[in-house]
Amino acid sequence: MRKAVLAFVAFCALSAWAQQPESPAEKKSPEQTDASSQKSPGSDENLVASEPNTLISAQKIPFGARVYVAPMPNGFDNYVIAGIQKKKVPVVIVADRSKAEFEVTGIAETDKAGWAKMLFLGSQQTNESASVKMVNLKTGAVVFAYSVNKVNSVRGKQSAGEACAKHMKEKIVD
Amino acid sequence: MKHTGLVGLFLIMAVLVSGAQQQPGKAAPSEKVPDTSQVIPSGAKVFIAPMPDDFNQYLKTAIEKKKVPVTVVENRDQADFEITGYSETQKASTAKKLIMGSWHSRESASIKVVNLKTATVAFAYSYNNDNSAHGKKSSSESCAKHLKEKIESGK
Repeated sequence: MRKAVLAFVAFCALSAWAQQPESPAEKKSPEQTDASSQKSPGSDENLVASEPNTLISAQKIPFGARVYVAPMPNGFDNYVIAGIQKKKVPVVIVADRSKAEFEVTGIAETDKAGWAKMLFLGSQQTNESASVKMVNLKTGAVVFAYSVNKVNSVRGKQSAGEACAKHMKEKIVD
Repeated sequence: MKHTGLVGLFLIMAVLVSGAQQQPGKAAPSEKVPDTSQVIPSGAKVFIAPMPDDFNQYLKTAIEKKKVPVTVVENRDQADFEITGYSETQKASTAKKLIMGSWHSRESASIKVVNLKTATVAFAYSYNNDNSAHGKKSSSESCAKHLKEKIESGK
């Protein structure tokens, strides 16, 4: 009887030991897996995984940083710069990439109102979609990213550019 | 006793006066130096770079019409500032004419003024109008008007 109990206990211990290596991996969420696999040495404290396969640097953009806005489709870079000035974002926009600390790149798309929209909705306003990201040119880290989608945009690209600038301002610290 | 009170009062006054005199000196180092690279001086030489749909021509005319205090030059090497930008015109479609009853075009423009010495953007402005009465003329004059305001503000 005692032998049988001992054998049963030994069997349980062995089965538990056999399952051990698999269990931590199973418990890991996809976020944790991605973050740990993409972390670069020395920058652990600056990186935050907000979504799977996404790493945005938690570092702030300094007040008065020199920013270069790269050319974007449909001249959206001009609208972003105008938005930055209008929203009084505390950065210095430079036209020369070599003089910049940060670079803003992005894409923008405009969907014009068709006849059906005009007829059924009585709206001639466009749908605007834009996405920008700001990269620290020294470290290569993405410090800010934002996308905007406006249905019936009152002021077209101007609205989208200003939305990007507004959210950029929130990221900047004194 | 009276003398002691007077001496004390005198000392307090002396400390207060010296403190008041020191304050401007202390504040001076923390004052931010104004960034002159973002100021467009009156009479600055400006080069207008080619833009889509010849918007640069409209802008040149508008600068003259609005009496913007700058000198437009044809050679980029002679300029202190460069104006670059983008413009888009969407003519009224048949649907817009029939359904909305509007013949006016949609205008969108955006310009930026770059200081060529420092490469900093001194001014930027964007314009959008769904029913522009005078097309590119309206958008260019709006840009010129705001540029003039910027120059006259001296900031």
